[in-house]
Amino acid sequence: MEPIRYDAGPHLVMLGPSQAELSERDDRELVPAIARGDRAALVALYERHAGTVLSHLVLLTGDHGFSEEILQDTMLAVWCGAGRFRGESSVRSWIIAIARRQCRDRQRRRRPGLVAQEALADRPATEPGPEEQALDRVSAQAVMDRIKDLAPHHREVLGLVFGAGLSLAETAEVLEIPVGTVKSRLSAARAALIRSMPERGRTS
Amino acid sequence: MTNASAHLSLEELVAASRPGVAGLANPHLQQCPDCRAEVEQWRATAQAVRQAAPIAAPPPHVLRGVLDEIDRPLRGASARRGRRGVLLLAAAASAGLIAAAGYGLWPQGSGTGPAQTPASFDAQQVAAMGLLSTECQSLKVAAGTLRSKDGSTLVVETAEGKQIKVDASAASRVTRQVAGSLSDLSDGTRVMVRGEGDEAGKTITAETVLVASAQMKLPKLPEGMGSGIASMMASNGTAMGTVSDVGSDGFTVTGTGGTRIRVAASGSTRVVKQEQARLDQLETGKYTVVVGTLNSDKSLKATTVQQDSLTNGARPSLRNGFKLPEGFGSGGPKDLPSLPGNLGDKLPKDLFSGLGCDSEAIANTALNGTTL
Repeated sequence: MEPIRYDAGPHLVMLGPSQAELSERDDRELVPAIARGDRAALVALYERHAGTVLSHLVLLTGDHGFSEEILQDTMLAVWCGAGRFRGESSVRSWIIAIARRQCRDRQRRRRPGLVAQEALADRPATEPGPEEQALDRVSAQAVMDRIKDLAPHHREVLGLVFGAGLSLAETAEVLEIPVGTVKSRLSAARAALIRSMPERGRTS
Repeated sequence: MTNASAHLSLEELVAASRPGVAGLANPHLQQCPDCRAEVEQWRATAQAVRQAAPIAAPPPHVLRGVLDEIDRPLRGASARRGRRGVLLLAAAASAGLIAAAGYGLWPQGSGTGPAQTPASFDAQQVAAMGLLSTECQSLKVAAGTLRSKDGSTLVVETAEGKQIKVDASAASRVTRQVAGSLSDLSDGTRVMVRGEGDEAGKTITAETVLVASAQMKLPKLPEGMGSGIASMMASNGTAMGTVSDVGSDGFTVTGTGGTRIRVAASGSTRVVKQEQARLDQLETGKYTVVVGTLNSDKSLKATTVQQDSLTNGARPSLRNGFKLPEGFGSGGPKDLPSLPGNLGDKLPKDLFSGLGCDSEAIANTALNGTTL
C-alpha cells in the first residue's frame, strides 16, 4: 500500500491580485480577456454593445426574432474569434462588422426576400412609459415604413452612422468601402429618406 | 482646421447632428443659415433612424442562449474553444464541482499511466463491487448510505444496492457534517458556496455554505481557463475559495485566479461544517463516504470516513432551468456506482484526478459533490 501523501492533493490558487470590477474594464481589455476564456468579460461586452447591435440588425432585417438569432451568432463568433481582434478598429465597429457578416450568411441561407416587416409592429416597446410608448410606436412605425423603402445599402449606412453612432471612418471599415463612398452613400440615403417624408424635411 | 467662415464638412455636419451635441456648438453655425439647415436635416435623419430601430436591451433569453451555447459540453463542431476546455467548463458548472465531473464528459485519457487496479481485482471487478477507483492504485471509495454499524464494522450501501463491508478500526480520520452559522466565517476561512448565481458570475445568493476544515483541500479547478471558469461556476451558483470582507449581508470569496465573487448570505443561508467525530456518532441511514484499501475478502479497510449527516447526499440543487450537459449523470458521486461496467475505472480516476493518494481529499470530493 502506498503511504498517504498529504502534500499530494490539489491546491486551489487563492488570493491572486484582485481584479478591477468588470464594469470599469475598457472594451480593449475585455476582448483579450474573452480570448482567454473569461466568460464574465463576454457578458460585460454584451451588456455594453448588444442593444446597439440588435437595433442595427433590426434596421437591416426588419425582423426582431431573426435579429436576435443573428445577435447570438455574433456573440458566439466574438467568443471564438476574440483572439483574432487586432485592435485596428474600435471594438464596437469590430462587433458590428461581425454582425454584418453573420447577417449576410444567415440571409444567404434563408430564402432572400422574406424579410418580415410585420414583426416590428407586433413587438411591444419595452423602454418608455405607456403614453410615450403609444406615441413612439405610431411615429416609429411611420418612419420605419419610410426607411424600409430605402435601398438596403442606404438603410445600412444610416444605421451605422446614426444608430450605432460610428464615425464615417469606422463606417467605411465596416462596409469595406472608401470613406468617400460612405459620404456619398450617406448623402444619397438622406436625400431618399427626406424625399419620402417631406413633412420632416426642409421645404425649399 | 475649422475656419469659422468655411462651410462644415460632412463629418462636421454629422458630428453636430449627434444627440447630445449642443445646437450651435460649432461657431460657424451661428453665422451660416445654410449649414444650420444642413445640420437640421441630418438631425431629422438621425432621429428617424433611431425611431425606426430604437436601441433597447435585448430580451434576456438572447444572452441566456449565448451562454448556454458556450457552456454546452459537446459541440458537434470543433470550432469551439477547444474540446477539453469546453468539457472542463461544462463539468465544473454542471454539478458545481469538478469533483462531480465524470460520465464520459472527460476525454478518455491517453498516456495517463498503466491501469490502476489492485493485484487481486481488475477494474471490472472493482466496479462490480460498487466501489470507485481513484488515481491512487490502492485507494478505493465506497459512497452510499450507511446501513449498519457494529463496533468498527460498517456497511455502506450504494445507490445501486451494492453492500460494502467496511473495517473502520484503523480509520485515521472520521468526520461528520454539522450545522454552523455565518459567525463561523471570518477572513481566511475556506468555503464552498452553493446558491443562485447571477448571469455575469459576479455574485451568488447563498443557499449553502460549506466551511472547509483546515486540512480539507478544495477541489482543483482546471488550469489555463483564467477567471472564466470561476465566474462561470459562479453564474451557475458555485464558488470556492477564501473568505474576506465579511459583512452583515454576506462576504467575498476569492477563488481560482483571484476572481472575487460576492456572496449574499442571510439567516436562511445554511452553513455546514465538518467536525471530527467518533465512529459511534455516525448515524445509519445517512450518506457516507469511505476511502480505504481493498482487502482480499472484498471488504474495505477505511483510512477516512466522512458522513453527510445534514443533507444526506441530496443532489446538487441546480439553478432553475439549468440543465446538466448531455451525457452527464443525474447527480453527484452518489450516482457514480451505477456507471455501466464497461467504462472501467477511467471515469472515477478522472473524478479524483489530481488527488493522488490523499485519502481525505478523495473523501471530500466524493462527499461534497453532493452536499453543494
